[in-house]
Amino acid sequence: MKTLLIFYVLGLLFFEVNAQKKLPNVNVKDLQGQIVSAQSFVDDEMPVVISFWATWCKPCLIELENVSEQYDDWKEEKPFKFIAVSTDDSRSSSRVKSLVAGKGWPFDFYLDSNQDLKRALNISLIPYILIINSKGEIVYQHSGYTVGDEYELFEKIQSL
Amino acid sequence: MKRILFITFCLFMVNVSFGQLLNGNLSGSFESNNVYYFNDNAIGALQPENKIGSNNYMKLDYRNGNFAAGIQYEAYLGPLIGFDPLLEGNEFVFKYVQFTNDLLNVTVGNFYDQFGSGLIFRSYEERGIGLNTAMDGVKVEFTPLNYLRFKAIWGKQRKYLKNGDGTVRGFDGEASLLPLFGINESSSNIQLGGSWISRYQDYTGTVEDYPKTVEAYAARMNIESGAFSLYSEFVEKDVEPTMGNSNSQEIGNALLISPSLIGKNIGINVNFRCIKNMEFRSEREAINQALLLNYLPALTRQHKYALANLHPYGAMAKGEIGGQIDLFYRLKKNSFLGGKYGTKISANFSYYKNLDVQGSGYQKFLSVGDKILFQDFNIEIEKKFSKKFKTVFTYFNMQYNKDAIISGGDYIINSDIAVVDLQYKFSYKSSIRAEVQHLWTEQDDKNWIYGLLEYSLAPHWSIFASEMYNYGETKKHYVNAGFSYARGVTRFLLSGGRHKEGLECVGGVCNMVEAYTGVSLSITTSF
Repeated sequence: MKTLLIFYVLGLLFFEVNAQKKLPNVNVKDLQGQIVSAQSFVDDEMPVVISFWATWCKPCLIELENVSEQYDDWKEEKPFKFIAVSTDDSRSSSRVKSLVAGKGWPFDFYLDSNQDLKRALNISLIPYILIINSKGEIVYQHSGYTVGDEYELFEKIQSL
Repeated sequence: MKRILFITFCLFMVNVSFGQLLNGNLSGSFESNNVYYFNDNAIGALQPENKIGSNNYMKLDYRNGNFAAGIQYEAYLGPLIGFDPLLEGNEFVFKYVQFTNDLLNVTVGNFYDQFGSGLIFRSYEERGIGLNTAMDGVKVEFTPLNYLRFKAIWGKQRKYLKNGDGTVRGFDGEASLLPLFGINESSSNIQLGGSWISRYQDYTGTVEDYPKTVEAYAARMNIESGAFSLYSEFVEKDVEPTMGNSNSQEIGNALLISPSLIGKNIGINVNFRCIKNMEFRSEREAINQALLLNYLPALTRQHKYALANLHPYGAMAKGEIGGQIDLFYRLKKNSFLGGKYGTKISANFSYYKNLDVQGSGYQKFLSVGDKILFQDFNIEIEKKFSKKFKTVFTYFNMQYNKDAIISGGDYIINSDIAVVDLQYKFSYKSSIRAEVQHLWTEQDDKNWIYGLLEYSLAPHWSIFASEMYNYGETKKHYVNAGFSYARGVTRFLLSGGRHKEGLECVGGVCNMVEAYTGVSLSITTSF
């Protein structure tokens, strides 16, 4: 009986530890207006960084600019993918495509116009960054942006 | 022995089911915003009877495979200044259970959704201003083929911490045409969509034939072809005389056309929109931000700088015509104008007028009236001088018809604003940012000046101080200072200072927010 109880408790612990946070099955749109599941962000060969931003959010724009300046060098050192999900609603979502073309940012862009993915991931403030590993598990999250935060992000990517 | 086996079996089952339960994902977020208010006669800020305002949100979601459920708790004890006082109280306001597979997505309880660009229906949350138009009912999404999807919704809408009276039902369908004809090209796409929204609310008044049911229809189209795209949407809404639209006997109409064109290092997009009598709520008596069924944003540039936000435009649900054009352009690295690091330019022009009124007193859809409501030309140049030093210069010229926007009169504030934004990196961790802004105008409170200093020490600390001063007329100072500490997904912000009264516009509705002086503490985290 005791052994059973111990097994039971161990089992619980095991499952609890095993419960790694994953990307939810929520749809976003790509810049061509096609519906895509967030689960398609997972890449089985490299870690993926997902950044939540908006065209009116100053720290978000600074962050994307600062990452884009380092992107090529960093990718050579350690392959990773960078996805930027815009949370702009229909007030400014039509601006996203032309803004990223004019900025020349090299990332993959998606639209989360009614903030379904942002909400499902329990993000209250943007900018917000998360890293998913090749199994689709969320292994790092960071809220807000301070100039220099991108180095901590890259250190984390390197450690995966 | 049998008994032991039975208990073992039971425990095993419990273990498995518990394990499955725990194998799912439990995640959530917590946010708390608190302000202690002071009396500050100099700027007309009054301490409310409840000296402390506190808005709090806790959200929990559980996901396991195709199944999800969650709750959100909100407590306004009491509501912060700028939020509707009727939010006072605390409640589990959002509860849902959801099931998803390839074919179906069924949600019961609370949900948010949007049809097209939201001109006909958008239910959403904008915590920063206390807007939440969540639905409470049933939503079914049906995707029989990957290029065909249907949505049906049914329910009541959130009103402060409870539900409103009106019942809302809606249907939306969307199809991608190219795959339908067997063409599979990733760079091209044609989508057609249609929506219907109907609202029923009982009426016990004395007006004969008063509409209890109000319906609206919308059609939309999206074309993508390589560098070019075009989105267009048209809406028509039944007549519904309400206090909000001064008992208008007009039908509602909206037309949105937005083309865009992108190239290497360049992007251009245009929005043209005309709206007439499009205020649509799930309760006819609702005011301010309560029970809005559709979303009518101001299609203008959303500015990042304080003085450029002194005169914000809000879309005129009653009637407006106009649009905006945006240009984004990058001058290449190592070119004559681009310099060593390249230069980025963005410009925007927005222009809105009222609608022409016919002899009968009705507004004419797609006509141009005699009043300018808003005009804004702005250009931003982002230039990097070295690895350490970056600047952004912005110039704005704005014509803001204050009276037309607030009271229906005609009084234009013509202002010029210049902003210099400097960023300097001392090391890879520590940096400083400074903003200097100036606003020139002959009208309203005349000239303003603004300065900001912000020092950041990655990855945790950031400290700032700002001063906004009206030297043209009122001689009032608006000083603010504070710091933030961030660790992972947790963020603390402590700040204090004066806040100017102002107009807050969202979704076609504007509210006046009174001035306040206070010390504020915010905490946000997620798990």
